[in-house]
Amino acid sequence: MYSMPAINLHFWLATVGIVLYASSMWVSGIMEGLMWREVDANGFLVNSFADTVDAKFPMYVVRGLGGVLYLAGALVMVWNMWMTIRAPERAAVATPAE
Amino acid sequence: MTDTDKKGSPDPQSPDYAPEADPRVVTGTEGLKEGEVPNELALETQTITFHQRLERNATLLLAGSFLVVAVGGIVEIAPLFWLENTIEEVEGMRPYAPLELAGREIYVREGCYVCHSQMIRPMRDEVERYGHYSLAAESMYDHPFQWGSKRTGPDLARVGGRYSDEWHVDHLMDPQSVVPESVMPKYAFLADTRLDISNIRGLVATHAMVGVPYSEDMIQAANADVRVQVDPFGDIDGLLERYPGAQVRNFDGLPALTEMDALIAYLQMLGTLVDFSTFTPDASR
Repeated sequence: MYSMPAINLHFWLATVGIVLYASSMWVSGIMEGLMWREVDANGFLVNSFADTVDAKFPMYVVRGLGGVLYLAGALVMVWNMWMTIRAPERAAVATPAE
Repeated sequence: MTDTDKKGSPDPQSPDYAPEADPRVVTGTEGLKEGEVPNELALETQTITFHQRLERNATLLLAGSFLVVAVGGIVEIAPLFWLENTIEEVEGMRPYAPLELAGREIYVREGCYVCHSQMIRPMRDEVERYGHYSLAAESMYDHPFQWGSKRTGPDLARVGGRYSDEWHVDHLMDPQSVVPESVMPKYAFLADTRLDISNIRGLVATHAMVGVPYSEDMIQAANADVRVQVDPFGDIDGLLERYPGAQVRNFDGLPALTEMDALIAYLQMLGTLVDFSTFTPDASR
């Protein structure tokens, strides 16, 4: 490959991106379910549907950030592959006999 | 000292049992006579059970595994032949009027089902929020059904009659103007797009073909019915006879027959066909 550090960068960008978006969606899903079913002492629903949409906003921001990181990682990979393909053909290195 | 003492006891019950002293235990080399070619199978498998024979014969194994898989298939497929029994007959259900059906096509085309479910589950908070839980019969004329699997937006199974037509127009034009928190995209173009009714008869006929009880009369009248449902001064007797309880009015307030009309006509009838003030579920359910 053209650049080993770029491979590592891609790995970490993708890993952090996935962790961010998986955890934020996980948290928002559970929160949403709990908010939908929350009733007060008199048995009335506490949250309107729009309240739950509003409460999910910060999670969507984190989800967006995670997605951007993952996409950035993929772009690093594309660049690295492109540079590898474009690199001039190297002369075969003779392996000395043992 | 006897031979048995040196090697341990040949009795499997004994505490100093030694397998090598047990004459019943043989190893591969012991069992072979000089010069004999060893069998591929270990000697302990000399007695091959029925199941081992099955495992060693490709044809038998194939036939056997087919039989086993067939059991699973039958268990899943057979109940479908009795599917009709599982749908409780409910008073009030009728096929969609042509305009509602056209609206439903727009609902499907725009992917509304991706964010909105149409399935109220029988849980307290859902019934509290959306109304009576959905009945199987309420989806019986849906091809394809719109139950959905994700609620980015609220459930729409009983949205009919919950908001005014004007609210729906405002909401579809610009959702954030009526619900500031909403993340729904704008569908203003629906008001600018004339409803394509050139193939409405084909649409109704197609639903008849897949089992919705549209009569020949309903298919023939589809073109007229789709127009008259947005015209309160038109001749609506035939429409109301064919589709009892159909709501007739200019849904979007615009002179033209637009896709907005069709979609709102569909939304306004969702979940309204069954009268739950008189509905009692079957005792067996």
